[in-house]
Amino acid sequence: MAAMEKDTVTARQLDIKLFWRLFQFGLPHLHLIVIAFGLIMVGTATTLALPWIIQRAIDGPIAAKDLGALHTMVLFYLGVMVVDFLALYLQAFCTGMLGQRVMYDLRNRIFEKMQDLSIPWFDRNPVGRIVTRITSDVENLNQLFTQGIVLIFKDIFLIVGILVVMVAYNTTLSLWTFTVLPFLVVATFIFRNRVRNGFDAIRVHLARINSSLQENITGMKTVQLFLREAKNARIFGRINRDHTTAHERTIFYFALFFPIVDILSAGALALVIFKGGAAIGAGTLTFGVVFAFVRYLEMFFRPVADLAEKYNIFQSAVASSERIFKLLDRKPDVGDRDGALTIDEPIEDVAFENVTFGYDPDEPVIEDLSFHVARGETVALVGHTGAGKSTVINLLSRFYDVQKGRILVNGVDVKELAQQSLRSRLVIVLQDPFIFSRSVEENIRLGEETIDSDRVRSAARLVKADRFITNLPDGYDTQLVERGENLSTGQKQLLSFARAMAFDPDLLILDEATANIDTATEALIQSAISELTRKRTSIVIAHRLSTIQNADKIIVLHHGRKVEEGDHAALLARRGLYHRLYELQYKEEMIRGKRN
Amino acid sequence: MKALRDLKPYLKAYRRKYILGAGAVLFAAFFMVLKPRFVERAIDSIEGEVDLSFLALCAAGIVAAALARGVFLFLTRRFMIFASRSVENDLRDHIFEHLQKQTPGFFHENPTGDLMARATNDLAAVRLMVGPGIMYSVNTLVSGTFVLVNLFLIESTLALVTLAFLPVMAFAVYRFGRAIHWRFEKIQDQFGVVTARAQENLAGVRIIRSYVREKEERRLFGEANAEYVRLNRNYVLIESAFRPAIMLVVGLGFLLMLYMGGRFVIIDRITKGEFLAFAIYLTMLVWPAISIGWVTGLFQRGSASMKRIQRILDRAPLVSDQSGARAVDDASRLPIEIRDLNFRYSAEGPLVLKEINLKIEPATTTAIVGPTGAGKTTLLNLLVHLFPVERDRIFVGGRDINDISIESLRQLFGFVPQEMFLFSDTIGNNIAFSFTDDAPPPDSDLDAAIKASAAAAAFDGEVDSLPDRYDTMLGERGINLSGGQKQRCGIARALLKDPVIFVLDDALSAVDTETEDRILNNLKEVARQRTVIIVSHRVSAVRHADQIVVLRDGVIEERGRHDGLIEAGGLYADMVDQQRLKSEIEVI
Repeated sequence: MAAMEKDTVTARQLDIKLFWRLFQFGLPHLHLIVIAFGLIMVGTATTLALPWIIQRAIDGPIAAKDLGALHTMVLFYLGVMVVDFLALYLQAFCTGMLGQRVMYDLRNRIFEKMQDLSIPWFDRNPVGRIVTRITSDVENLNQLFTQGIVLIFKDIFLIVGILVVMVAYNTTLSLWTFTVLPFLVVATFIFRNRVRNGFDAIRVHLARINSSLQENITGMKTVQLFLREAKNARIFGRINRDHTTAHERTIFYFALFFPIVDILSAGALALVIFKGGAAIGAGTLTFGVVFAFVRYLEMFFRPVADLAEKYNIFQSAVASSERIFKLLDRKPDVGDRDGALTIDEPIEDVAFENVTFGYDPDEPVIEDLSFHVARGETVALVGHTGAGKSTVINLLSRFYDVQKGRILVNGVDVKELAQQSLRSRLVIVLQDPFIFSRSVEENIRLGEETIDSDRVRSAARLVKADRFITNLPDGYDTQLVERGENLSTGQKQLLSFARAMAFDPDLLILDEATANIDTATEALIQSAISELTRKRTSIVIAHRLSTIQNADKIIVLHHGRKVEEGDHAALLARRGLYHRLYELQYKEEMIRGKRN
Repeated sequence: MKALRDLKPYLKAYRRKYILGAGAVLFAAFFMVLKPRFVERAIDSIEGEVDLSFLALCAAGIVAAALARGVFLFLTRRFMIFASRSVENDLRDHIFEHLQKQTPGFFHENPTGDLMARATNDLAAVRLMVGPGIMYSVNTLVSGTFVLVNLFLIESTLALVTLAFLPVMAFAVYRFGRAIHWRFEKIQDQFGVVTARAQENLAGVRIIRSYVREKEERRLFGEANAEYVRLNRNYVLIESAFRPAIMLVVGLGFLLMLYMGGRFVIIDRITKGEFLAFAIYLTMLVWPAISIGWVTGLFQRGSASMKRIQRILDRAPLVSDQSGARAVDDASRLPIEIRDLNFRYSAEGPLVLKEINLKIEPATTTAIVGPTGAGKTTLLNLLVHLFPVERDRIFVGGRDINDISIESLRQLFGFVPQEMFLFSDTIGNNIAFSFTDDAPPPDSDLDAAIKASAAAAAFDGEVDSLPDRYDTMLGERGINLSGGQKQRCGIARALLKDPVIFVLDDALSAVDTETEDRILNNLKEVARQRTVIIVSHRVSAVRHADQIVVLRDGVIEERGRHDGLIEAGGLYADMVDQQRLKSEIEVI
């Protein structure tokens, strides 16, 4: 029950502020809105004119038995009809395009916002949820623009137009017919409320079906092991049945509402026939007018009933637009300060000065860490799991900001630097290489125009990735699938090395992969790493013995603190933590099964 | 049409409702066509002396016909749409039960999202087909016929000429429908591209930030987005014309009626009343004609969706009771034996287990150790028959597990998997998970039993500190447990089952050493009368086992007791060493 209440609260009314913000997205396409309104007016006029022409024909040529004049009237009718068609069509096209344009803008705006937001936000929000903002939430707004706002005016114009025309024809007869109106309004109002409550209930039940289904599918092994199939099927059956019952309740109102509208329109028709017939007999009314009244009545009832349905469109659009605006209003967690500096010289040195950081400020992952990397040096960070090695990457690239201390690049605090300027001088190679669903060449170049085909190929050659690439069906043009599932883990790594090589950064930050790779590929990867780090300032999060041995400096981290520093030989000689880590890694590689 | 054949058993259950619904359609159509007749009589009566009472009678007739029609319209929906909801309900239950029979391999092949889509979106499309689809088809047929008959009864020449627009309309609806559908498909494809671009951008956000590719990404997304809008423009161009075009065709019908009918009124071939009735009948044809196109779409989409659902339903479960499978005879003392077992997940896949031979005596403890990916979990999963097992490979109580009913086999096991899955239910219900209405707890005091097993799993202390204790909700609408708490909850769950064979699949990995010791100590009591199989990376958990099996790359490399294996100085000894180093590093 609690969940149901919550849902009704979120489905709020369209308030003025929200409406104004939405309307601003329509403003750049004001011409479409204006044209659509113009066409609606034309369309309403022609739609109203059609029964009027028939009335004129009946009371004129037909009553006078004048065939020639009837011809003229018919031609006139045809002309108005064509205009009516064009107005209706063009107006639907304009509103349709208005919706498309607004959605286009919105999607681009949301996407751009996503490019501005920083990593902490992405770490907190699952990809699936963010994607819905740009897909289904935007799509919900489309209905608002195409079927909502503009068409409501169309309905209102038509309703008012019909009322005016009828009164102009015959006030008494109109007033008689209008006696049905209050009933229609009341019925629509009641129906709208019932159906809305019904839809709210259905949404809640559907969410329950989805979560139960999801839970049972992911936990199927547990269900089967504990022989819970029958009971869970019964529980699911009950949830499913509740959903069906909720639907049945809503169907009941639908089943009731449409016949009621039908009966009311018959009541109006009966009044027109009775009162109108009497008036014809008394000579105060013509047959043509009665005919026109019957036609106008038929036109009148549909938009009134439609208005109730439009209301529901508004509701889901409100919820979606609130979510979208919340995203657009978000400030990046890590932002550039005003007048942030750029790095114009190559990176000469990098230094951590008493850096303390924790994803949760109360639980530091790195404490009081200081180290220095000079130009051309390779520094390896080693440590047991959870020592804080990977966090160093997040800080140096300013994915996160430090809480205490400073990180200096060329002597400047990274907080003073524009993020993009800093990042354009360094490259991060992640543990789990990310492959885009593009060609191999594009995966290396990443759309950077200054990297030509030759540079892509020579980079691949340097890291020895060219051999497997040329063996692919289309070589460098081979299309890779999402996340590179048509490549092996080792190949993906070589590809990400080629990418780093092509960008030729001042500073390389490499998080070595821990994954199990066959010995041959392993050798390739090792030689690629030494190629990448040669003469280049590098920070390597090391997991492999061979990588560690070649480093100029090794920093041993433990529980976020630096415990040892030195080169391989010196550290081994100390027989401290490094020595033990080294032994442990040696052992682990033996167990992993290097049965040479 | 195959879709309808697949749906037949579901539809059949509600045959009565569908027939009654069709009957209601018939009556509703009858009363609908009555209405214009009253109008006609009324108008024609005015020609001579105006008889007010006759006019009143006609007006009353109009209202009465509408009332009667209303009742039957209500019944139509009540029967047919209700029936379609019931069909949806049954089909969803069926899909759910079918999923429950599938093996883990099936869920690996079919991602959760896909299966969810079958049971929701596709099912909704099927529902629209068997509900509104069928209802409007019947209505179009019946109402259309009734109206046509009346048009011809009024004046057949006029009807023929006026109705010239009908075939044009049907053709237009058909062509429009096809063009719209085709363009819509393209839009859907492009929508997939747009979504994929956004998804990839989000998943690769670290690389994009690190290489400063934001501008390039914006351009790529912008291109996909623009293409999407371009395709939508093509769609809107046609789709916007659909309704106005139909209204135009209807209007042409009216035009012909005005011209011909007007002439006929002038030459007194029809009365004014008939003229008006004719016009009303003509409007009555609009909706049935429009719904032809709409209904066709419903059937197309519904069939496609049903096909997708049926693909799931047609998948026979890989593991099911074979004929002659029986329950185990004596559950109390059951040796387990594995003979020359080889296993691969798929025909082309690599061998995951090779030539496994293993004997597990009742009431003994067996430990399985080895590096990640050695096949330990696979071996355990085969014991409970989660995957198909060849004949004459695995024997429980001397019988091939293929001859033991799956239910009675699994009933023997208290299995704690690596990834313990907890349901969004209370902690108490999660622990008492193995009890169902069919298999109620033997102990009458369930609460005490839950507490006892939670205590054995060293989980009771934390539960007692929660305000609602065992009634605390887990998951979406409740609290989240840590990895270690989940594992202990899972152990309590397996213990409460009071199993003959207790299996721990690396189920202590997230528990700290101190708690682990407590649990292992408690389990000693359990192990006294039970067979225990334990997979663990920790030496402390396996050192006291009656036999230790060392698995690497699917092969049993060593077996024996702790001391013997240490002496042998092989893989097990290395593992013990590694563990020592690790714990030394950890305590620094």
